[in-house]
Amino acid sequence: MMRHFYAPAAIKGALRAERPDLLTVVLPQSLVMQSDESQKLLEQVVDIIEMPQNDKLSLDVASRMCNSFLLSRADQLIAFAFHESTTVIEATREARKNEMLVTTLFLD
Amino acid sequence: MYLLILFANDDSDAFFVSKANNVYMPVMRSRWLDDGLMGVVGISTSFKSRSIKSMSSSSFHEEETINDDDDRLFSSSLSLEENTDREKINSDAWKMNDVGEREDKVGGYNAEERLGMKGTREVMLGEPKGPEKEYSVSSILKELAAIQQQGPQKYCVLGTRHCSFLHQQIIELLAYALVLSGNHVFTSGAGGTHAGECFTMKVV
Repeated sequence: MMRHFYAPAAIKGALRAERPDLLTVVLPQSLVMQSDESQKLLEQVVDIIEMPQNDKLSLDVASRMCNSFLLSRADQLIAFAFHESTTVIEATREARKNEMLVTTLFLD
Repeated sequence: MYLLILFANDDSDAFFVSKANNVYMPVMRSRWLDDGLMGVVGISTSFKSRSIKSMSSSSFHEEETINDDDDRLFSSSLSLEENTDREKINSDAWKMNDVGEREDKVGGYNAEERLGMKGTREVMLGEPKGPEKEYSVSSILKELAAIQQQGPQKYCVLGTRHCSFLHQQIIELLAYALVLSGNHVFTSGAGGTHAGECFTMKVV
């Protein structure tokens, strides 16, 4: 049996700094669509933006839309990716197009 | 455990050297720190970089004569006596060449090169050499603006869903440091793609 351990590292790290005003989490779908583990962690996050309008879309498409939304809000992008993680690489391309400063860190 | 965090472009020398040797070691260094760091790096026997090899095979004595050579370029007002002393040391180095330790003049080092006066020697690692890319006016202006805006920024942290525990720790640390220094972090909280989203583990 495979079990997923949801450990959103970026959220965890940001929460550890105890500045809830400086963390914004954007969900590609509504909160109830997330796993229990995720929901538990997200309880501590003050600023959550949900996207219930994407509930009927596949997670892949919803993620892409979520990523573009994130990019529109930020000045810089730091992306952790494998060379084959298409969604993330796509986001870095989009960010470059938006003339953002992009840092891609490859894990492989 | 030693951990190497290497910030490099894909075609950086440092990147290739660390991969080729399969050894984790400090690769960041500057040209002017050559001697100091070479001593440390030279310990590894599996290191195959040409510049390292020529360094590690040379004795300290020879190294000194090279430095003397450098000095001589600058100080033209040395007394004749000193000069002859130096010639003597240099000729000692030449004798060592005859033994066959080295193929070319003073171990492939040209004193002028080392001072950055003429040309550049082929550096096998360390020297950050990015890909030759064209800088547009807008990208230069962007970098200048970034230099001026030293204050907090808005960062978007994205990541992949498959991520090892150690990578998660690094991501966590980065997000922690960003927020601690007053930056705003945006991230996706989804079961899709975001930093260290999940990693799968077999439960028996």
